[in-house]
Amino acid sequence: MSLETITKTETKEDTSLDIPWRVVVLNDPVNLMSYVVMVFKKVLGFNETKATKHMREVHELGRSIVWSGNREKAENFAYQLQHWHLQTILEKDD
Amino acid sequence: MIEFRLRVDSRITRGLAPLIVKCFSECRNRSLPAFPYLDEKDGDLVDSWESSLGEDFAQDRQALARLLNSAKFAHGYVELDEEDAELVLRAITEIRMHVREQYLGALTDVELETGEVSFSQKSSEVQPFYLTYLVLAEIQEGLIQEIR
Repeated sequence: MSLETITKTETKEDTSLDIPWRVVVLNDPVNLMSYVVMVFKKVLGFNETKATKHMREVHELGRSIVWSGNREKAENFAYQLQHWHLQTILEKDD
Repeated sequence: MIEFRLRVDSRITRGLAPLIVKCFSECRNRSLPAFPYLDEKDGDLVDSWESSLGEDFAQDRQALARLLNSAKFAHGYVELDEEDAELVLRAITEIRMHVREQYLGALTDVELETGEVSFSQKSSEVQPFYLTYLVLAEIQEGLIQEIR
């Protein structure tokens, strides 16, 4: 089953779709800095400067909010980041 | 086609190749990452998510298996199709995480992040796994340079 299928069929059709969600990447001691920068560029479309800023934030603060918006797109990004083995969680953007 | 030579003595690569293969095999039993919604209770959604990730990780491992099975790898050469590069990068990350979790408990996160490890002071059980961890990182660095 593709991610597209999952997000189309499984995403809850309730009010939570309207609430903004944050995609948060957590620090881990394993991934190379160059790897994290590359993943941010590939998955989130960041340029080098923005990708490096978020990588440093993850490294120094333990977490970085890399995207915020609707649930379906947030899930899509979270899935891709987890596929790249970055520790990723989704939080409601209250 | 991507091809480069590792900046590691080929004797080290040859010596570590069986250990890399062992860790690679063990990754099949590794737990999937935690579902990203911390308070999600929809079991079907969690199952679909995990099943899909599991399939994607398996595909990544197949690409890495092709690299590990190539005759040149044990001699310190990385040779793979360009379309396999991202899959191999991810699969190597999985192995490095597995090595960290299972065999490098004696090292702190700071040691791993800074690379400031007193190698000679580590036990003979830990040393080969740490070298494996480093060689895998070297492959990743090479691949990132190639696909950048």
